[in-house]
Amino acid sequence: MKSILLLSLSTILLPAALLAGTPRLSHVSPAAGQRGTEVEVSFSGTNLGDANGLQFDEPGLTCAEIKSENNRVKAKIKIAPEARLGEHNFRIITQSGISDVRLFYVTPFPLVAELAEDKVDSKKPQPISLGVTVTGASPNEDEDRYEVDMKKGQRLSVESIGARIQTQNFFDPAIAVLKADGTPIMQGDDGAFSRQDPVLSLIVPEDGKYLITIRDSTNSGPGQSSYLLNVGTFPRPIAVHPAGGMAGEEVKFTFIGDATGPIQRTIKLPDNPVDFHPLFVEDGQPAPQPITVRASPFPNALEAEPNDAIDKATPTGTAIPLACNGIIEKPGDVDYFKVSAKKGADYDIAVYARRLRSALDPVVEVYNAKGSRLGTNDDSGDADSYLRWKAPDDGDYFVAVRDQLARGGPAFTYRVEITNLAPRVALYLPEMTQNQNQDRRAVPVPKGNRYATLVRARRQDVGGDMTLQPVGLPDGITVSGGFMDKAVDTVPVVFEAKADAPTADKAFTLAAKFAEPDKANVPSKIEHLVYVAENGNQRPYYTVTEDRLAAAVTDAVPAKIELAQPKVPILQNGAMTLKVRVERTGDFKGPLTIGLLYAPPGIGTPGTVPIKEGENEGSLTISANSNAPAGKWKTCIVASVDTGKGPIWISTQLIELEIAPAPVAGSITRTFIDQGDEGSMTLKLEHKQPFEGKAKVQLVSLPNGVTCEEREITKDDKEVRFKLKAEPNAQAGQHKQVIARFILEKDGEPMMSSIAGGGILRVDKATVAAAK
Amino acid sequence: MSDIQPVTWFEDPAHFRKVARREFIFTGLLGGLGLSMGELFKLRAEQAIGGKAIQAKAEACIHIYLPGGCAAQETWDPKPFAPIEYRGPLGTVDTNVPGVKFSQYMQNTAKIADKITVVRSMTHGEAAHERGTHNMFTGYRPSPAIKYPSFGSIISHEKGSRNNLPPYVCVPSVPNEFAATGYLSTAYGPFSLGADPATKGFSVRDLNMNASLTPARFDRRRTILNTVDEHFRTVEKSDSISAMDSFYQSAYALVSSPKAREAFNLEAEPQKIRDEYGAGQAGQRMLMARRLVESGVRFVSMTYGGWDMHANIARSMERTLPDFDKAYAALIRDLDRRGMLDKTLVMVSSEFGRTPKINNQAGRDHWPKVFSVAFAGGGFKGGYVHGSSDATGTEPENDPLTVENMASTVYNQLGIDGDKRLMAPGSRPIDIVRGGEVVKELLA
Repeated sequence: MKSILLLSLSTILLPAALLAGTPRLSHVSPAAGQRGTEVEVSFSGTNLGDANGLQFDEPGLTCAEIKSENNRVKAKIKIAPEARLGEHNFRIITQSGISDVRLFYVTPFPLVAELAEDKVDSKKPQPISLGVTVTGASPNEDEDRYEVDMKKGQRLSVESIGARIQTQNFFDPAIAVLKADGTPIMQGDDGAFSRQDPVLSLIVPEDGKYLITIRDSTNSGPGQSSYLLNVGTFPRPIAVHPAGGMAGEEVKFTFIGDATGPIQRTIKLPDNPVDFHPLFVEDGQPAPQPITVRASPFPNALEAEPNDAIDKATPTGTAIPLACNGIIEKPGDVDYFKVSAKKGADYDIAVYARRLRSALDPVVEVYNAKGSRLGTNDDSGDADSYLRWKAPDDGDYFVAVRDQLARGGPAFTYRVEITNLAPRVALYLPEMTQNQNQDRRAVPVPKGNRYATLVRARRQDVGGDMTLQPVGLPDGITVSGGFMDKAVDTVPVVFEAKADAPTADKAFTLAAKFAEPDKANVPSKIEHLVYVAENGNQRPYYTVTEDRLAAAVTDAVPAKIELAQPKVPILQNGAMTLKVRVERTGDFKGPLTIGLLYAPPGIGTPGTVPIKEGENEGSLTISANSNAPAGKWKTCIVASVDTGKGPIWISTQLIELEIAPAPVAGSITRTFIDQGDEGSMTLKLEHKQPFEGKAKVQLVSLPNGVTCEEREITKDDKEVRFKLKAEPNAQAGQHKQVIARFILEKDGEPMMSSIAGGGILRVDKATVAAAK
Repeated sequence: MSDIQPVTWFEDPAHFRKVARREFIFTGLLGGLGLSMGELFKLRAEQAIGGKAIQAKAEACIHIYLPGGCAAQETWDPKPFAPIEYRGPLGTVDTNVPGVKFSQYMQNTAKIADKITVVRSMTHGEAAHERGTHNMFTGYRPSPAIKYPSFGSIISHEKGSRNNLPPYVCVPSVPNEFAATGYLSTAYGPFSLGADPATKGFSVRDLNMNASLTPARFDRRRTILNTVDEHFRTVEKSDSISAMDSFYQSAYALVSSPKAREAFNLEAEPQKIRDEYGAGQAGQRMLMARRLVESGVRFVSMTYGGWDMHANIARSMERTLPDFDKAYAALIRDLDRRGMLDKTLVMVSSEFGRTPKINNQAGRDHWPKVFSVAFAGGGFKGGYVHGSSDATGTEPENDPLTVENMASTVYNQLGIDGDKRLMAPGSRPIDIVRGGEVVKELLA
């Protein structure tokens, strides 16, 4: 049984091994550091041996030193005293690539490492002081125990961070606070605010020692099961009202859920609107993790209870756009707001609750003054509600919010943002590899070479041709491509680094500009969502949305590829072979794998094609289906090449691919032939557009043992009669797959189209023929 | 960043199967009383209804199963004239049957194409691995109400043992739960090698006594087992006791017969033959299969590779197919040389085929509507292609072959009437194959 178990384990582990590439970062330890200090962090993953530095999301975090041995990379991270607390994301930049995004937490507290278990008494707790961040791990049924000394009436708050820093399987921490004698006082597993990483806050009932425990909630502790545990007397609210405010203004917030009761704070919001703005409450000690609010470009309306009926609706007193804020305080509660709308105008009504970690699962409804419901939504904004609604008349309308299961409580906060439609564009690099979300989602450009990526756009309430312009790329990188036709949402963009470009890394953005002048001011931004905690083909556990894209100038690669610009268009129902030339430098002979990065509408490819070791020519056949729209598109071929550091991707230059209709259409007349006999098959031609010179036509996919000679046609031919010859052993039966091909040469290159298909040829047995 | 990696059946956690708790009852033999009561009480079908006597063309069958769903486009049924996204990345090779082409990685099979029948119009409607597998192992669509026996178990039930060897053997291990006995007694279950013949120092797991098990201990266990069996025989008067008993008797016979054990000894095979099959898993497993049928095993179920090629099918095929090709061609040649091909049916199948179009991961997904299977020997035609898929490999175009008809034909060649009914628990008569017909066109 043991060997069977081992076999199954190794099989399960294989998907993780598939992450091997250039470079992958899987584990960070410790994933935290105290602000104002320098912390040594080690990283594990694959192809990290040539690590150069770290790219953080914000200033305040810098890489003071990085060194590597095998795949074990260690870095000293310097955290400025003013660095923002809480979650940050970063990537490792190596000489050959850019790693996955992983998380790092800035804490106000000193780090304390988990000590090895006491060999005599494995349950002996580790004493810690109040105001620390413990870094530990509880793999394989491990339960870690810590002990704090408290005075009666003191607040004890505990925060765990575990599920978010486990990247390839699922660690679900459960925490508890117990009296010294083991009597449990409070335990936490999952919650709306903390999701799978629980938090606790309590007032201790008497002087004495208290135990804090942490383990995997299923006691399985997969993988590293590393955690951070913030322990102190800091406040730990789990909700806030109002859940946002007008950017640049001071807002009076009430933080809800702390053991000491509501905490009031007046806080100035940032001057520019922010989708998710973190607030860190301080009360003695600062809370290490934030509560998130919205900073919007419009004012707040606050609910005034009672407002649980239309006739008691809270008047908003301001024109749309506005945000209605409130709390569904008790089970069955419904909150109404009165808003004034204009006839025929479209409005977006978006509830923010779950997205801000509120306990509320909202349902939004719109009523008129007579109480007729005009619109409703439950879950269109993920678990939150979103509704696009058109006002039938000028006048007052009523927006109602309730919980989907009619629950309620002090932490059921929400914010309904009612806005006019705002055209906007979001840009991102799409997922390239299934179940490996972060693969190829950054821009590492080898010196003297090219890297290509797809860029995808979400155009919201706006359409049209756009051009994408990169802003803030590292020096020495130039860009081609970026025109996005109105019919598509994806384009290939090619980045090229000069041979003498300095090694550098930088986060950059892309700006989308519409061709039409009246759309010149439509805003665009990067919304690049990556899976940080991903587990096979399950839904990702934790994601991060970046507002910039990572780019780097990396070491030269000993192979460069060029794509020959086709001189002729690819015909509908036709095929074309693209030719790639490899220019190798030094003694590099290794194989390459090539593939078309971007297939324009109607274009098909065979996937990937190898260029074998030592070979310098490659080709990739593409096809155009009958519905491929005629037009011109930019595309390129990318290749992966392994020089010993895992696969590195390079690209050809962009070429223009033109899709055109075939000049001729055809139909094959049904016919039959006897085994060992001769016959003919007629192809009727319908000319769509006159062509010059002579074109070849041929019948292919004939039954076994039946042959036919190629013929030539001109623009004046109305039909072709092919002479067929059936061998005595030709495969008898009805064959329905005869195809007529049209081939026209221009500038020395062939244009091919299957102008007729499904031709029926019946081969009769010789005996049948003889009987006739 | 990383290259697109081939993902196959065994590597994809979504498809990962649990290892059967008890892969083979012989473990129970050597484990003394490790046999569960549930298995002891399992009823067996003794009675049978109907069924005419059929002269067997094949004495044995080797079932080569390609788990994961093998793409016909990249093996038996290439589409060289289809648009490239249907055609896929691979080229073709001409076979020794005029006009018939196989995939470029089937160079060896192409040379023995005149000895095999390829069916290019196999069809069913089950696109999930376990359901497709059930179809291809039992000849039935899965039912929530009853478990059907596999081909091997039916043959074991109908034909019994030869030369002290188990009638039904799995190489290297029981491939899936549908390879089991279903409603039949566990006495008709497969014997599995429990180890891969391609590994160095290979030995069959349950064939030799555990080093710590002295003959005295073994005898003592046997005595205890007899006592327990005797008790149940008196108290329960259950059929299963005698079934178990006979099962153990044959197990003892196997363990104590050096000649039978020799069937499992690959080392006894000349190196030249071992090389001809290839040193990899495909080769050594197929060679083992040949040795077993040669010695008297009636049904060998063998698996090779992971064919669930959702991503980068070109690379996955390059990695998986050539070994199969070499081994399969060697097997057919070897059987032919020994004059065994006529009496041995070699069936190559998979749970389903794969999507007509290449997906955006350069792979193909599940497609049961049309795919290919291959037969050799046992009275099947040589150099014959049965049926066809349409121009893009989307649907059968001619002569679709259903699971039931395939099963009936295979049973027929092994001398079993598919219309015969076996008795399931609850005195429920169940056809060996429901509504299947022997497809005469497939037969020589």
